[in-house]
Amino acid sequence: MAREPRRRECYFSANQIDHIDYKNSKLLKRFVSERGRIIPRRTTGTSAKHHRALTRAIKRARYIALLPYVSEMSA
Amino acid sequence: MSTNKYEMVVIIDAALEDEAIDREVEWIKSYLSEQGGELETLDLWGRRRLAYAIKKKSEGYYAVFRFTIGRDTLRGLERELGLRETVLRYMAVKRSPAADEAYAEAAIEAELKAEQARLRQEEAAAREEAEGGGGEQAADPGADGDADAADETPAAESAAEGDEPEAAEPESTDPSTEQNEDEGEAEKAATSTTAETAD
Repeated sequence: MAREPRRRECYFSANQIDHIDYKNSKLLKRFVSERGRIIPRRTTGTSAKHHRALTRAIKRARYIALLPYVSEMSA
Repeated sequence: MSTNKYEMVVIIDAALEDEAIDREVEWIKSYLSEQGGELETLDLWGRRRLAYAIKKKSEGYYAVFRFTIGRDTLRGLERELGLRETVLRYMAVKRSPAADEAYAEAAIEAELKAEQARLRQEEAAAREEAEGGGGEQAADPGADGDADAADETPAAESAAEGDEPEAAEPESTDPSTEQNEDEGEAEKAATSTTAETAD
């Protein structure tokens, strides 16, 4: 069984980002899997508070088509 | 009537002519001012690929409005936008104080960056003038003293040529590499997902 990637420190706490902008797709992409799913906080290590803000930002970004809801190319 | 601070992203059909897009943006602006709203900032991102198709369109023109307006008036604007076929999507979000702070900081940073780029450019231009100026001077008296001018001009010219691309590079390459990175990521995502589905 492959272990999950090592858990890291909360990115937002470490960089003192207190507002997660839904327009910053480059940043949000780091917290989304290749399929476009939000990566659980057990693997990213994001604090609960920041993870709540992050999910809100990702969902907003999805609505304005900056991020995909599903990213699956049919072969 | 309560007024609130909002930020609204509007995605306009990118297949429209530039003028038609302009008109759409102006229409929203005039709606805001007519209805007692106050537009604070307007950022035009331009045409951008959509992460997924909206109304069968894969490209959209993004405009971000930041304004203050009454809640009921905002509902009216949203209704109007929903009726417009040129508007692929809109999203109005209440701005938090933290969001405003972050926006202000980003604006200052962007200004600083622009200032630095301008300084760098000016510096490069000054350097070029200092070196290239010698070339011009040498070229002018060329009519009077042929021998001197012939010696000076080639050296001055080559120095000026060597400087030019360096000065032009930093600004022009930055955004393009960013875009490439983005596309590379998307491609990576695409290939890996196909690999998964193949399994």
